[in-house]
Amino acid sequence: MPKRANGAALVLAAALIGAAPVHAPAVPPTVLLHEAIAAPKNLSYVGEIQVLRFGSQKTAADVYRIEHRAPDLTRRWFLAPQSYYGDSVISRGETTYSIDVKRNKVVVAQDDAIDDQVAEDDNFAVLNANYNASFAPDDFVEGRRVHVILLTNKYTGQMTMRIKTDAKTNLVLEKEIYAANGALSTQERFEQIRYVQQIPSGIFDVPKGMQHVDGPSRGLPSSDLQHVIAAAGFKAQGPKYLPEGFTPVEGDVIDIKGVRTLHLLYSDGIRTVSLFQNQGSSDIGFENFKATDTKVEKHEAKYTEDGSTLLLAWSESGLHFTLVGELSLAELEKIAASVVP
Amino acid sequence: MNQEHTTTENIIDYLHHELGPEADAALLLHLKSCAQCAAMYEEQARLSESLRAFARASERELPQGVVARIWDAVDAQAPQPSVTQRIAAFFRPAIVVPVAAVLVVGAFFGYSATHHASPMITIDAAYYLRDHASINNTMPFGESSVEPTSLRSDESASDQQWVASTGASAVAETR
Repeated sequence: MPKRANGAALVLAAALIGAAPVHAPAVPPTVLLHEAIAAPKNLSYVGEIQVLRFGSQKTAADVYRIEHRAPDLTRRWFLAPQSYYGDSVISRGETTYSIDVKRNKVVVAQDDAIDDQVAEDDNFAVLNANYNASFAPDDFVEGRRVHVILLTNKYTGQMTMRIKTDAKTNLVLEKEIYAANGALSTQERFEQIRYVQQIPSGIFDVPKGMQHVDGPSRGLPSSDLQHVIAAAGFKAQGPKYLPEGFTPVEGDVIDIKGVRTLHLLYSDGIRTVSLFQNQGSSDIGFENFKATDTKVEKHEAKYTEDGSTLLLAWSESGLHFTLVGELSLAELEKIAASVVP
Repeated sequence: MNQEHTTTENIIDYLHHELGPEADAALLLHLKSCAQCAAMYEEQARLSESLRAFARASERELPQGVVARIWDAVDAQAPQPSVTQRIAAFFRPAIVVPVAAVLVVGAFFGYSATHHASPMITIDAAYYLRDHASINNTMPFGESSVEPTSLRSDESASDQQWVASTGASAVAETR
């Protein structure tokens, strides 16, 4: 009987193996990951992308048509949700034009960090240090064969990201991010994809006749956080606790409505958390969000969710702090408690 | 729009962003479902691109050295006012009155600032979310800031300025 059972299992296993798609390539997964990051710089394509972001209570979804011309021209045209229908975002290198059709305006933002190769390489090194990359059997997305790469956190053993790259072009066609408890937090995938030789440059022209409004501009962030902290103009604080693998990555000082604000970014290569802090007569407004009361140690605090991103704000020792990240509330509260011990 | 084919003129207007928002969105939808019109769109797009490429190839710019010499010559020919002319110009009513007004207002607010608490400034949570998303761009496989916050509210976002990472003034001068 056991022999018969083993035989049946072998037949079943053979059938499963036979049905499985072609297996992963011979190159190491990290090499493929690196090539996947660089792929849009060499490929032009049009398609449709769906993004789902799962919060603890509700889900946010976007669908947009994308036209990308290598190396750095991209137009995203929103099809859903309805409130953004017809709006589009055109990226021309480091400049982004957000075209708000309903308000007849174009918000122009400059971000020198978008194509910062040094920062990209540094951050890829952080990812490599904290995650094991491994192949899963090949799969198909939109009829195209894809290599499947799993990124598993070295400290928790938890799979944090599943990436599916086009077997022919290395472009990422699907990406799933998982929360610390194993729940799916974000899924982004091409619903349609077509590679093209050339896209007319007119597609990336900004519409005429609309009011142009300056958006936020940003220079190259510095990885020298001590230097950035000194530029804040007040005695800044930093967290004494961070989840394993997290390290300071970038920082800058921004001026919001005349309030000088220090922004420090910590990451483990996939997950990120920002710590904002400012001093003086400022307050945080939650007019467009549903805020919930909580506490950071004995201090009154509020938190809100935006898709899979959580924001926690509180005041302490004459400073106003805001933590933002793709972490659980418990993790954010633990970091918050360590900022001013 | 989905039932009838569109016209070449409509396609051309669409390519040049000349259609109104509603017509533009309707044509986008139609092109997704109508192979015949999509083919016409591709053809017109190729033609537009060829014309643009030709125009770019035909374009000639003056060498930078020539441009610089022209501006040098313009500057050299501009008459320089004498010292007395500059002093007289300063005391024209058009300048003296605003300067005096600025001094008075400055003195008033300077006094107020030292004798009253500064007003509470409310910073919307969206600023922090937007900045977090923005600085995330360099992370490998980070979310590519879909659904920008600038589309979410009436606020212009121009009241958010990047100040410094290192050497604020030096960087500001170069921008």
